[in-house]
Amino acid sequence: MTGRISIAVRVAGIVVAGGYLLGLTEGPLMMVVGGFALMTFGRGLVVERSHEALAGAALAVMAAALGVVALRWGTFDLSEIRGVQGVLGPTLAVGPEQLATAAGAAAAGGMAALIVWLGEAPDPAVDHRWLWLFEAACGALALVTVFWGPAWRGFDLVDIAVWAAALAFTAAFGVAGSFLVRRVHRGLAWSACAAGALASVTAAALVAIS
Amino acid sequence: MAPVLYLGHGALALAATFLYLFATRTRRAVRFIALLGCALGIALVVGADDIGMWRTTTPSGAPGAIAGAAAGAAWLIVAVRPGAGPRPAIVTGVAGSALALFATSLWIVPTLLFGACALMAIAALVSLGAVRSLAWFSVAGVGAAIVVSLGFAAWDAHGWGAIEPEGLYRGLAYGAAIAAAGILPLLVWQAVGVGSGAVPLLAGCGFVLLARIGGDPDPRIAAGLLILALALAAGAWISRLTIVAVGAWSSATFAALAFATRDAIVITAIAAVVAVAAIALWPYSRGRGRLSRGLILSFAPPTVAFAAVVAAEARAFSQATSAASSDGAWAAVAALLPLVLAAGVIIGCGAARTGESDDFEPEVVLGTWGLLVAAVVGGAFLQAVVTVPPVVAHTSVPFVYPLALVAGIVVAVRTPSPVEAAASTDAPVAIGVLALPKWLDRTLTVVAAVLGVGAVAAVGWLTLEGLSVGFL
Repeated sequence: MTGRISIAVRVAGIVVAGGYLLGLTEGPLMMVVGGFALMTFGRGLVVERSHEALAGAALAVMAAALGVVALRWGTFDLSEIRGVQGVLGPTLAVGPEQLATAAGAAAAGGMAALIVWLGEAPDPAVDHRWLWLFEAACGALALVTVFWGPAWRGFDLVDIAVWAAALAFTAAFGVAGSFLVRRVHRGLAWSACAAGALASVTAAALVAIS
Repeated sequence: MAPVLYLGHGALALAATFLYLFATRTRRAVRFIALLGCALGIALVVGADDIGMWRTTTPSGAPGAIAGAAAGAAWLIVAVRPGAGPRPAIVTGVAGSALALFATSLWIVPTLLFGACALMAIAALVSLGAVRSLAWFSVAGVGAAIVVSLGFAAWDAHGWGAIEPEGLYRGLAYGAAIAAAGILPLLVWQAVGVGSGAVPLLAGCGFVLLARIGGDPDPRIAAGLLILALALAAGAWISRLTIVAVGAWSSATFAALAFATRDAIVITAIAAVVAVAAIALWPYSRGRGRLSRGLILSFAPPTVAFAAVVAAEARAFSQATSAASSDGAWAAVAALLPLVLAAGVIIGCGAARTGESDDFEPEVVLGTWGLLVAAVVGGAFLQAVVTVPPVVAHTSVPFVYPLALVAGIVVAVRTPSPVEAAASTDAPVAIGVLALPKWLDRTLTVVAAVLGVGAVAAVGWLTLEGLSVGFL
């Protein structure tokens, strides 16, 4: 029974986070984090407590990385973050240089957190690889949406293709990285999480002083 | 309607007293009375904004709603544990009415009289437990601080209306509110048992006090409490989730949220009393109902706790990015809140993984599920009946949660042979009661008695002074 509840909660989390990320409904960035919290909770029902603790830490780092973008644009609202990037371009590429560097550091922190978060899930080699892949896609969509911007900035096929490539690259990098941290050593996962946290804090400090 | 909602709890206490004196088989009757009390508490939450002035009370939505939630949670605990007899019902009824009137009284003398009455009832409820000195000390300390901060502030201002305390008085009121809502449940958890209803009542008392004294949010206090909450979360995780550690973490977190944003104090307080009630019922469910408890403690959407976190984060973020505000404490609060959310997920998962045993009490498990329903309904619909910040409206978009629920159920049902829980679930939960040396136990009891008698004497003196000048 716990296994089925775990799946239900994870799917519910994907729907909540995906609904806001795809723009089906407007709301604050925290709603996306809330969706990831639900997914993390669902996975925590079927993994050991040490894995859950690390997944929780990765969730906090991911939330912090996404928060840096909110700080950078001075808005907490996801549709406004999407809108400003639709006009000015990807957060990663919009100057001044210090802020673009901060965004890059936060993106790196978010990526590290996503890798750790995916690596702490129930073993995808055993069962429900599809669910895990959906979670990976959702994590990649979150990072791409806040750091790169929306897919649709008008009818521009090149733009859409670049966005899709960014999404595919992020998801693939996350999946590959998670396999690596799962197989090599547990200390690597903790180190990646700590590095992600450091990158996110540095990025937030850079944005705050600029 | 106001007399029913305010005094109904007292009437139920009278009915329970009748049972105590004259009936021999009381189990079903006590449960019925407690469920009525729970419904009265919910009705006060829903109707608090619309209640007009009645006698010495004033229409004050937030404190009234918080008192209703605390009373409802305490009654629920009585309802699911009726084996303790009518005594908890009697005291809970008295505390419920007194807390509602403390929350809404316009004049300082009735405010203090009802406040003292509520705290004495809570102390009596605590007395039904096994370990009492720390809990008595907590309640008496809160009472003394409330009397000084509200009563003497009004006396110094030469007025009889309930005023917003300033300076040292405000600091003392903040201390009492944090103590009642945040840290002192750590001590009151020692009395968890027959008198478990005292925990949500005392927590509610703290939030009522905070809502009554008003004022602006205080990011420094919020940041300090968030750091404390994170330390307590780490302690709770290391101690394998003893009741005391989890309770203290939860209470400190909600107290911090209340200091971060006053606009959302009602949803924060409701989330707090639901969480502490779920923790108070934990020892009797013997690990059952663990999913509901885990979700309540996890801060995950769509619970009311998540709405409280979002409201606090939105406020902290807007203040941190505002050109007019240069207070770094707001940035600290905004940065700490995602950590708090993650800590909630970790603790919630831990609570959902505790080992089960066969000698659980089914009513308690049902009560825990009832609390989850309250948390979810509160998160989704509370904005319809109480005033909340605009950002909270975005946390309960009508179609997202139903869609997520349906998708989750459909996929879970259609998935063949899902992965089951890891073989080693965590050990059954322990309360974690402190073993006090005898001398300390006696000393605390004496100090509590001195503080309590002093507070009651001060209230009596203010009442006589007020009557002598005809303050009403």
